[in-house]
Order: sequence, then C-alpha cells, then structure tokens
Amino acid sequence: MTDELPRLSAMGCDGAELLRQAQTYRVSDKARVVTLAAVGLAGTAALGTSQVAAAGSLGSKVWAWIAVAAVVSGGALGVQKYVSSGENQSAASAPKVAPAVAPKVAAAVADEPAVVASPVADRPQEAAPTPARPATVKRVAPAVDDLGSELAALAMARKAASQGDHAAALRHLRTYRSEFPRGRLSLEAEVLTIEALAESGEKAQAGRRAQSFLSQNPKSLFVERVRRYAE
Amino acid sequence: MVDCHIHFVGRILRSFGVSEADVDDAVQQVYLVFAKKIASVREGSERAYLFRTAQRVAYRTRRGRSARSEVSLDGELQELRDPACPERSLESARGFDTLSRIIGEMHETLRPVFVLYEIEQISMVQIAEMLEIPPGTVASRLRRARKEFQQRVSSCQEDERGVA
Repeated sequence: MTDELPRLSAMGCDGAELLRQAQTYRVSDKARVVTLAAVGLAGTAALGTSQVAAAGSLGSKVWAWIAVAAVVSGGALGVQKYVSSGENQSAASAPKVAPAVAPKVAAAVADEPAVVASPVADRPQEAAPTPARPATVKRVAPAVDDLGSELAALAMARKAASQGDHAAALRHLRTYRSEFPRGRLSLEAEVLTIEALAESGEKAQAGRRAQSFLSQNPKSLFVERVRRYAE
Repeated sequence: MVDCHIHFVGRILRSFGVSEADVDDAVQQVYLVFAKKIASVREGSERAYLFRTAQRVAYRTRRGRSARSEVSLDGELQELRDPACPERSLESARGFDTLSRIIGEMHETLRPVFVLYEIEQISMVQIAEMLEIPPGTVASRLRRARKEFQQRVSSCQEDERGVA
C-alpha cells in the first residue's frame, strides 16, 4: 500500500499558491443554476449550451434564459430565446422574445434523439399528474432568479426528507407547487413527492403517481429513480 | 448530484485547460452527457464518470477554442466571475490559466493523478479506484508529476524574472 504524501499546496514550495487557488475554485452561481435547470429538464428537453454561453455576454443587467421549446417533430428541435431584464420581471410578462432560431444543440448531445417535453401543469395537492399535453407546447421560461427560488424551495424539501421528516418534505413540495405551478423543476418536485409519499407509508399513492410519471415522461432522467415505486 | 460535484467538475475543466470564458458552458455539457448515461453509471462511481467526461469535454472545448482564433486571451479574461471584485477574479483566473498551462505540459498519463491528488486532495487509494490503475502506479506517476510540476514552476518564475 502507498503512503500518502503531503500535498504540495501545504508545503510552501514553489507553485503552492497556484494549487491553493485552484483548490478553492468554484463555478459561478449562474452556471450552477443553469446546469441544474438543464439537467432537471434534460428528460424533457435539452438546453442549447452555446446559446447560454452567448447569453453570458449580454451583461450584468440583463439575465438571459434560453430554453429549448418543446417543439420536437421528426427530430427537428425548435429553440426559443427569452431575454428579460433582471428587475424581477417574469418571463411571462412580455419578455423580448426572439423568434425561433436555427436548431443548435451542444455537441455533447448532438447525437441524441430529441425528446418531447411534457410540461407539468398545475396539480391538485398530491393528486396524480395531469395527462401530457400535445407535442407542440411553448414553455414559458422563468427568469434565472426564479430558478434560484425554485431550487431553494426544493432544497428545503430535500433537507426535510434527508432528515426523515417526510411530512415536512411533502408540505414544502405542496408550497413549491403552489408558488411555482409551472416551475422549471416540476419534474424533480414530482419525483421528490413520490419518494416522500413512499417513505411516509403512502405506497399506493406513490405507486399511482410513479406510474403516471413514467407514462408521461418515459425518457426522463428520473425514470430509473421512479420505477422502483411503480412496481 | 449536480450540487455535490459541480465545483469538482469546474475545477477539472479549468485544470485541463478550459478557459474561464468557456467553463460554464463546458460544465453544462459534462452534466448533459452524465444525464444521458446516468442509468449505466455504477453507483458510487459517479465522480469517476464525471472526471472522465470532464476530461473529454475539456479536450473538445480546447480544440474548439483554438479553432476560433478571433477570440484572444484578453477577451476571455474580460468575462470575470465576480463583478464586485474584478481584480481578484482576474488574478484568480490568470492563476488557474498558469496552472493549467503547466499541467498541460506534463505527460498525459501524469495529469489526472496530479490534478486529483494535488488539487482535489483525493487519496491515492481512491485515485487508483477512480482511474482503475494499481495504487503503485498512482504513487509513481504522482512522484514524476510533482517533479515535473516543480521544475516547470521554477522555469516559469525564471522567465518572469527575465521579463521583469
């Protein structure tokens, strides 16, 4: 077995400061939020990362949020770009909407078949998800600030669940759904709801929701996670 | 999962030469690949998978960047991560650029071990598992990498003194 060597960064030698700086490097909050949203959405839509990079050049007063609209037909991918000011303007309140631009998907996912988004509509409390809408749907993209609020709301639910307080987790999730009825992270919220229901003994209800989730979102990232509750 | 490892992914990308201007986009690409493959990633080996993916994305991003010759390094550095403290951000970005250049000059088999040990501070045993190589190989590569690193840092400092 090998003995651990002291790290160069702790030895005060040449280059130690470079290593210490690197160790504390963090990605930007914006990258974190956009990545979370992209992964949360990846089961329903892919995010054009090149457009996101371009959005970054718009300046600090302008938040840009690019969402791939759920317009997928025969492999064609429609992309819509939503730009709104950072002053709490919701994207729904008449953002400057660019018309659909040429399909452009990150190289990382370019070879993947496109998937149809199934937006999560307003739902009654712990009721089964509503059926998926037809394939051509314009998704209203919230501002990045709203995504941060959504993430914070779900983080509370996750924390409660991790502490075994599934009733509190379900309360947080109900609050999330009421505050963000068309939230970007609705799919993740639904998965957390299914898990919290199952963990709190409501296995039948969790199973029904899981089956509904799987039928509506067969290509979601969460399929493997949800499948166990549907069986 | 994203929250657990996103900064790790960012550091790996920067270590392997992705510029500050490109790192946000590259982080997202890594996670989109991961998201596609999540079902086939063995439980407990997510970080290793992200590491390998980040290496590949870094390679592709660097190649794309070098093809876009119209964007200069100074242009990249204009995209500062902390508008409240631009000087610190600029210094930090330049520091990482220097480090990644030094790492980039190492032999390719030495880079992963060096980055995981010296930046990520992961143990040699864990590195051996992540890279699927024997622990003895990790140790020998690390010794060589550290020697190369210190030689190159000294060389950089001599160059700077020469310029000054």
